[in-house]
Amino acid sequence: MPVPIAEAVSPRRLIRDEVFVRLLDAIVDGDLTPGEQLYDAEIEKWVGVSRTPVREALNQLAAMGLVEIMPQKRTRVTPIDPDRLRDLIETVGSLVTGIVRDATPLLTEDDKAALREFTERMGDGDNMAELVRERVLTDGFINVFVRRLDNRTLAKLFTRHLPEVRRALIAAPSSQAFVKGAPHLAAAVDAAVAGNGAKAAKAVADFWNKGLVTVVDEFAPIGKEGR
Amino acid sequence: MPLPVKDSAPVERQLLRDVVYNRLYEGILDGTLEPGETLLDEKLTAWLGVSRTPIREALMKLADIGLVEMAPNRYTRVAPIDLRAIDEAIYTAGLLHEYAARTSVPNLDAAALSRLDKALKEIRKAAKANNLPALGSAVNDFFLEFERSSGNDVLLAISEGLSPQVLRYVSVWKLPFGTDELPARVTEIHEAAKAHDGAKAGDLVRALYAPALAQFLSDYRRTDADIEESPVV
Repeated sequence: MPVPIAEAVSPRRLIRDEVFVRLLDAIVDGDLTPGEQLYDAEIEKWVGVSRTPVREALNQLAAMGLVEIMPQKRTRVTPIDPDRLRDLIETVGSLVTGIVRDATPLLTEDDKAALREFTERMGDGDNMAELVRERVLTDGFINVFVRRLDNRTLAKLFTRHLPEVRRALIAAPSSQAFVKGAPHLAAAVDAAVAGNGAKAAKAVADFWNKGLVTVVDEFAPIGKEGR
Repeated sequence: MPLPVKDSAPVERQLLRDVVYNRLYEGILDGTLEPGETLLDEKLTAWLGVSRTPIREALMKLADIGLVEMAPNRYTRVAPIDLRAIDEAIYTAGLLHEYAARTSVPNLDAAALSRLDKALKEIRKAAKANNLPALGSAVNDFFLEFERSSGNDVLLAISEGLSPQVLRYVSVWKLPFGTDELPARVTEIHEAAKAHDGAKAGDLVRALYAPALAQFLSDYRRTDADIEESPVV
């Protein structure tokens, strides 16, 4: 018999996902703070599941860089390391710049309407933490381009790496990264709506490199012992 | 007796997992383990001579990079060749290589240039011998040099993560990357790198990878109604 191709959804997988999502949200939103120790027993009690799905979820979060597991010692929420954060934001930015360039010619009228709405929501970028909690940049901007390109590998990479960026944006003491970037983002949307991919990409790169990446400066370097 | 505070067991286990991972990784990429082949724990245990735990850990890591598919309680198998996924990975790798070239090329040091030179020679040799696996891995190695020189660990890690899918391309080698013109195209990029012209190197990388996007858009992109509402979750 040929092996069926369709992905099986077992109840066990669902429990793991439930723990994963609960932990992910808590880390991104800052309910679990950077550097905070995580104890299996507490998580089991909190989510109401057994050890195995908890460990699986923690392993998945560790692969994303949000949790650090030191075997038989401790598990903790990864501290925010400005060096890594800069590398991460620059890398994600290169992908966003690339897809804006390449997907702009493919945008539909609905996409353009969504982008205009997004600019309204962003406003002057004040209240960054709230905007990021509500996934305004992810859903209102990045998802529009990823969707139009229909590249699942890229979607997976963003799903995996954006949470770490979002966590830093929510944890940052001020909104200056968004405030500095907002005019560039508005220019990017204007260019994308006009169908000019090169110009939109340039403006997004400016949003990223002159705005977003400056969030790195809001976090003190962590010492060797913190790593 | 007090228990020693530092235990070596996790380190050893870690290494064992990596050994298993590497064996399976290479077995999948060189075709020893065929696309779609079922991977049974007991057979792998016998083959590699290790216990179930490091094998499960290695399989989960391989599933993460798309070389293995696991459906709990049903099967674990070598991921079948997925042309769409390969094309997606090549396009994505192209974006990262282009960015890495633009940012690293202006500052490449002599050591990096000599590594590029070595990789280019491998590309020429493999193309001449029509050795596709060697060609694929030499081309991948050439471009990863830009990431290695960028000093950006995340950029390098993500690009390396795409390598397995990109390398699987050689098993179905076809256009847009003709094997005949590839050495000449990479030579051009190498010339731009030697001249420390990041903009030119980036443009050339983009041009080289552009057919991957064109092909994806014409062959694989779905209609609006079929695409998930929010692909990035």
